[in-house]
Amino acid sequence: MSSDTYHKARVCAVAAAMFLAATGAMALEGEVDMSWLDEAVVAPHAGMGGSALQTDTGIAMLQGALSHSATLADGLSLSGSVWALADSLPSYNPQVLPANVLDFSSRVLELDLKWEAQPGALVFEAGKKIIHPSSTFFKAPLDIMTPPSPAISNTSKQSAAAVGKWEEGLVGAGVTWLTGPFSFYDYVSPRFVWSDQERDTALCFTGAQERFQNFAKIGARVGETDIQLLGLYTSSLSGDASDDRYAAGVGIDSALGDSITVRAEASAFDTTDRLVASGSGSSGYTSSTESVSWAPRGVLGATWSNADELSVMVEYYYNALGQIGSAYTTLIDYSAARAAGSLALSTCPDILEQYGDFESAMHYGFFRLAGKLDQDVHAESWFEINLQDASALYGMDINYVRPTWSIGASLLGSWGGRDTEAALLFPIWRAGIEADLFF
Amino acid sequence: MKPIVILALFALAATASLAAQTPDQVLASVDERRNIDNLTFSLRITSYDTDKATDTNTLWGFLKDDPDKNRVLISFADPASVKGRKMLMDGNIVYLLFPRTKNPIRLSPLQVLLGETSNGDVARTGFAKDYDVASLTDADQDGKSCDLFDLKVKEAKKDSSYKRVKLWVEKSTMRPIYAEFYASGDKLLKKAFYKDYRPALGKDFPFILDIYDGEVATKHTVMEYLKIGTRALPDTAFRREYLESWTPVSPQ
Repeated sequence: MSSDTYHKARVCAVAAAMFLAATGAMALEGEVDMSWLDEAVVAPHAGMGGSALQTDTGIAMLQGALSHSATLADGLSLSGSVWALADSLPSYNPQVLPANVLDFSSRVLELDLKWEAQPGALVFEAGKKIIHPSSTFFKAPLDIMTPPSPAISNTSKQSAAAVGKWEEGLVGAGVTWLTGPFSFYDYVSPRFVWSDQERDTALCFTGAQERFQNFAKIGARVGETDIQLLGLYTSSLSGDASDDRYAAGVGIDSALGDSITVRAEASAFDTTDRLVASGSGSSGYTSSTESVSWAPRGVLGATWSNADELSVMVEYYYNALGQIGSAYTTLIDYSAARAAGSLALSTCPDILEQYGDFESAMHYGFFRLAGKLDQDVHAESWFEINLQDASALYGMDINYVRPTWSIGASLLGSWGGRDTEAALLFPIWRAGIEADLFF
Repeated sequence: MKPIVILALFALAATASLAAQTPDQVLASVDERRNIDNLTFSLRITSYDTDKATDTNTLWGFLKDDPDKNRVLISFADPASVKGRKMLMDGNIVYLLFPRTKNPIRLSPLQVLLGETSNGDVARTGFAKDYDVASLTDADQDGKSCDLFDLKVKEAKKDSSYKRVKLWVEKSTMRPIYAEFYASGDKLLKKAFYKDYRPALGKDFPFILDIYDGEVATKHTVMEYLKIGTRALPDTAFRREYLESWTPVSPQ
C-alpha cells in the first residue's frame, strides 16, 4: 500500500468512527472542539534588518476525542480514547507555517485493560494510561514521568491549568493495592517506538517513549490530610549507567474548616541538565550546559470557596532549576538580544524555550478567581506572575455550558517590559472563541 | 402475600414496640425502616426555578452506611457535558475527578456541586447517627398525624452542614414525610419532602426527595432514584486512590 493510500485510509477510518459515534450507532462518548485564535506577537523581521515588528496571526483548530468503556466480565473492563486534530498553525509561530493548509495529527490517548482481582482493593492494568499525581493547578511538580514525544498540541496554551485538555498516556502496566489506610501503586513503562514516524507523521497512534520508567507511589490518610510519597527510576536502556535518573517527591493536601483547601508538593531529580547563558552585550554571549543535582521544585497553594461556587486560588511556585540574581539577568539579556536579532539564531539556542513557560526564574506566584455568573455561565480570571522581574501572564475566560454543547471566549495577555520573561515568552495578546459539542 | 401487606404488618408491630423506646431509639427505628446498606443506585437530580427545569444530572453510585459516617461513590452518567466525572464523599471530605485528569482534587465542604443540592443532601439516608433528639412532639403535616422530631447535631458531628433538623414522621407508617434543615443561628437552609415510598430490598424506601431552598421559595431540586440495588464493597473502595480505578456500572 502506498504511503498516500495508507494515509487516506486511516483518515477515512477516523472520520467514519466519528460519524458512527455522532449518530449513536456505536456506544461511544465524544467531544468535538472548534476554536479560532487571533494573537499578536513580536517577531524579528528579516526584511527590516532584523528589527522586531508586531505580527498578528489567526489560528484555526478542529479537534475531537472519542471514548468508550466496556465491562468485559465481572471485574474486567476496557476503556480507551482516541483524539484527532486539524490545526492551521501547529507551531504557534507565524514564521513556521505548515506544509499543508491544515496539519493533521491523531493519537490513541488511552487504552486501559483493567482487572479488579479484589474489587476495591487490588487492581491490575495494562495498556496506555495518563498518570498525574499532582493536585496543583499552576505548576505540577509531582508529574515527574516523561510524556510521549512529541507532545500532542491542543488548546492548553489558552489555560492557566498545568494539565492540558487532551493528553497522551504512557504504554505500560501497573498495579494498585489498597489496604488499611495505605495505598500502593506501581507503573512500569517500557522504552517504546510504535509508529513509523517517517511514513506516518500524520496519523501515528502512539508517540515515542524514549525512556524506560518505573513509577511508584505510596498514599496514606492521616486524620483529614492526604499524604503521597513518589519515586521514579528512569533509563534510556542504552546500557550507559550515567544516563539513569532517579526522582523523589512528596505531596500533602488537606482542608481548613468548611471553605479552604490547602496543598503542598515538592519533587527533585538526582541530576538535571540545563542551559545557562554567560557573557555580556559588549563581550558577546555564549551558552553552555550544566548539571544540577537534586534541585527541588515545589508548590504551596490554597483555595477558598463558598456555597455559591465562587473560588479564589493562590499558589506559590519555587523552582531551584531556575535562575536568580546576575545569572537570571544574563539569561534575560541573552534572550532579549536573541529576540532582537542581535545573536545568530543558528549558534545561540533559545534558552527560555528550553526551560519552558515561566520556568527560567526561581520564584513565581499564581492567582485565580472563578465563579458562576449564572446557572450556565462560568467565568474565571487569572494571573501568573514572575516575582523576580514582575512580569506577568494574565487571562480571562467565560463559558456558556449546556448539556450537549458549550461556547466560550478567552483573552490572554502578557505584561512587562521588553526585557522580561513574560514579554519574551508569550504573545502580546491572544483572543479566542471556542465551541464544543458533547455526545 | 403482597409486599405492601407485609409492610403494613411490620409498621403495626413496630408502632406497638415504640412505646417502650426513648426518642433517640424511635429515631433510629425510623432510619432503620428505610436505610439500605451497601446501596447501589441510579439517581436523577433535576433543579427547578419557578417550575422550569434548569439543570438535570443522572448519577450512578454506591453508598456505604457506616456507623459514624456515610461514604458515597458517584459517577456522572448524564448529560454529556459532565459525563465521566467521578466523586467520592467520605463524610465531610469530598474529592472530584474530572475526565482526562488523573488525580482527584479536594473540595471544601461548602462547595455546592449539583444545582441547589449540597453533598449532605445527596448522601443523607439516616439521622440518628448525626443528631440527638431535643424534643419529640405531635404535629400535623399535609393533613397527616405526625411525630415531630426536633434534632440537634451531635457534638462529634458539629462540622455537619446542618446544625438543626426538624423532622416530621407519619405516625401510621413511620415514614419521614417532611424535614427542615437549619444552619447555626436557626437560619432555614433547606426544606425536604420525602415521596413515592415503595417496598424495595426489604425496606420502605422513598424514591423521590424534593428539596426546596430555604430562602428562595421558587427554587427546588428533585432527586429521583431510577434504579437501586445492593453490592458490598470493602472500605478501601471509598478511598481517593480507588476513584481513578473505579469503572462505574449502572445497577441492575
